[in-house]
Amino acid sequence: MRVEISYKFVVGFIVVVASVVLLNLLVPQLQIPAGLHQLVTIGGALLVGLIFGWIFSKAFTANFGILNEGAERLSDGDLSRKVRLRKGVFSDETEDLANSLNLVVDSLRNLVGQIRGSSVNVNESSLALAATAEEMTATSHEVAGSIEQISRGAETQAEMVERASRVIKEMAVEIELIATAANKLAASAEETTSTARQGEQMSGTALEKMKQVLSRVEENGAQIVAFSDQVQKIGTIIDVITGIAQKTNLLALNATIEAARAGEYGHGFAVVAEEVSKLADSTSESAGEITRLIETTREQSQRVQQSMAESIRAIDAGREAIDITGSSFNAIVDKAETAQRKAVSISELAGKQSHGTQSIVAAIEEIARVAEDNAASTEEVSAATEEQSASMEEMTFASQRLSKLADELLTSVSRFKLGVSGETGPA
Amino acid sequence: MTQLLPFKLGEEIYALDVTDVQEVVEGPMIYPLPGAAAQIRGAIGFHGRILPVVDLPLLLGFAGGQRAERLLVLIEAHGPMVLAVDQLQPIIAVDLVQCTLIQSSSEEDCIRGVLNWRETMISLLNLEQLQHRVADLCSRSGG
Repeated sequence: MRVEISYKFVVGFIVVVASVVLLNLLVPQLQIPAGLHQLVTIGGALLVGLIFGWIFSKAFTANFGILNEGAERLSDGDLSRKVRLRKGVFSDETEDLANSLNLVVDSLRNLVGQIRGSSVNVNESSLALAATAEEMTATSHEVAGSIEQISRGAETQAEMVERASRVIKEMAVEIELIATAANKLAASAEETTSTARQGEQMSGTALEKMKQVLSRVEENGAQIVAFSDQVQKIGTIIDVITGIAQKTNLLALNATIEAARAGEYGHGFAVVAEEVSKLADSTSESAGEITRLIETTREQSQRVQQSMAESIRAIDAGREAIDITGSSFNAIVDKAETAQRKAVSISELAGKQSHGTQSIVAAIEEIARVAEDNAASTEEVSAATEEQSASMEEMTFASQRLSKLADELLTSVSRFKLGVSGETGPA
Repeated sequence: MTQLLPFKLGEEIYALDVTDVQEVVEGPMIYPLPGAAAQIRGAIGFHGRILPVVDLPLLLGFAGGQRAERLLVLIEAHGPMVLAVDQLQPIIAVDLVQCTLIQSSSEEDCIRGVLNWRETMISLLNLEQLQHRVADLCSRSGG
């Protein structure tokens, strides 16, 4: 039951007045001298007043002391405890005051808790931010280094691209030379093919001719053998003639001897015998000449036979050689046709390669352009990274300052003691 | 004019008067005579008679060459006998008076004389000396 302090004073005053009145009524009934009545009444009234005053003041002082203590704690920043008044039967304004104080404490405690948590978070975040900023600075330094390398690489690349372009152009010229050479090769392979075909035909014709020559030579050999036989027969006939001539000579000789022995009578006979002897001699000479001729002829025919045999062997060898030549020409035709095909394909490939090199030249020029753009971009990137690096350093500095501020805030807030349970609602 | 029958003995040319020759025979079979001297080559049959064949080059001391096929059969007055020579030559007619006739100095020599015929020296065979030699040979060998 709520009773305001003023009413409590009024009630106390009334109680004191009532006790005085009551004492005034009670005292005369006591067996005490009348003179002492007044004194006892005053004494009793004073006693009641003192008791009531002590009780009242005690109660007020205790509540105000508790309130005062709570306010002092609050001013010291101790928010750990609430103001708790002793539970009286009759509550009054001190309780309202205590409740208000407790509300203040709760609000403050929430606020401080939030500030502390936030500042811790801010500190952590700013530290993390600083670390991140440092990492980023380092990274941007690395990026700057890498970009420098890229820039150097781009220069080398430009140089290489130029060299490659030169090499490719030289290659293109060489490929054109190859294509020309391949065309010439194809043409000459075609010529070779036709020539080899002619050669093949010629060798076939030559083979036919050789066969004809061989049969002729064989016929001639047979004729010469027959001729030799005839000559041999002539030889035997000549031998007979020679014998006859010798006999005739002998007869003439003996006739001459006989004639000589006959003296003058045998003179005419001697003349005849001499003529006969001369005839026999000339016959013998002619026969001898014929024999010599036959010898010469025989030797010559033998030589001719030998040379014919050699000719036949040579012709056989020639026929084999011509056979080989024919097959060689065949092989040459095959090889030349293959060479022609290959040369044509080389020519085509060289043409394709030429196109390819042109595309490569174009691509390399594109690469060169891109490399130049890259070089420009890397310079821009380099500048940007330097700016970024500077910004990062500033950011690091700022985050460090922020961390310091959070520390300061935390220090400021740490005056407040929140106690174990920070999350208790208002009582 | 005298007709001479020249023949070769080795490198020398000898000759006989044609009238001293009975006949010239060619290639008759020569039968060897056992026990005869080397200068006697053998014997031949001639018209039913057997005549000795004298190797004239061997007899006169010329180097042995190929004997001719033809043999000279001498007349009855000279043996008769057959001469084997190296080579017979055609009969020549010479004037012995005009030709240089060198008289033989030695009796043992078988050369009757030497004549110069067409730049060739021809020795004329002394048949009598020859006959004596052959007779000597035959008596020594006991024929």
